[in-house]
Amino acid sequence: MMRELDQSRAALAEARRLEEAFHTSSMDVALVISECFQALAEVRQGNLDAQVSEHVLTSPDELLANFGKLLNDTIKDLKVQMDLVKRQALAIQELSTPVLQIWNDVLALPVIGTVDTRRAAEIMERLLAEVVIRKSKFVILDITGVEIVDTKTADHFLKLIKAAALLGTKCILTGIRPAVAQTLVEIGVDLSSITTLRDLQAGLRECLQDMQKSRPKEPVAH
Amino acid sequence: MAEKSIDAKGLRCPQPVLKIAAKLPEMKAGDILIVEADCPTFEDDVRKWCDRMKKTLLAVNTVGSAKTVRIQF
Repeated sequence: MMRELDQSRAALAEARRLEEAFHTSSMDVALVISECFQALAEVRQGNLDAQVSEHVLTSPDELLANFGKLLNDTIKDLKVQMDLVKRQALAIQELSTPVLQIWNDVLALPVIGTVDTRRAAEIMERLLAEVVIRKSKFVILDITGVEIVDTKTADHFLKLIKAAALLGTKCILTGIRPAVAQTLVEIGVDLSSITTLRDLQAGLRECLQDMQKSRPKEPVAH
Repeated sequence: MAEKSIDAKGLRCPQPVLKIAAKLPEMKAGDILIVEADCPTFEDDVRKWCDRMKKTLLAVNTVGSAKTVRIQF
């Protein structure tokens, strides 16, 4: 599971890096186009000769040649980057809501990134389907990878836990970061109705203890 | 000294900057261009553009998610 978490984090970081690269490249193109328009404006105003030495561009021909080359190179780079972004987006989609069976009757759902309404609906649909298919008695919702939890996000988690409970599954929330815990207290989110534990390991231990308790006791031999 | 404006709301980077660039031939020294846009990177992009094109960014006003900039040519 840690490998999948790492993959997901790496994919998100790569997507952010590519987004920034795309932005920088497109701005570079926009700046070159601006210089072309500036040159055109100066030609039109008849003061190109006086201004030209202040610019990198030495003549309109050179300007157009530079512009054409840079534009072609940038378009090629952007195509490569966009293909990568598309592939990463697909990977992120698959990795963003992995439901993993970590023990008999125990599912783990590590959540990474921001949980908005759309994503919450996806997570709920996926998790409930897995609960039904695998007949799981426990679900550990691990939010170590969630950096920001506001009232809406907390509400999504509560709904998810309640929906799982309706299917007869006990849901445990783990991995609340100190900063997130502080925010939840400050905004007054009530999580008292659910079991919250420090980390995934503690969550699994709790599940195993509950399983032990619910096992029928063997008759004592006299 | 003329004052012109561009509504670039709803456009993503670098389109607002390209719209400003397209106005260049019709702007004269001292003219003011007012641009409104709501792209998250708009302010940074305009600052970069003004710096590169040697224009003066007179003001940036924020109203909600939209920003209005005043550029002197």
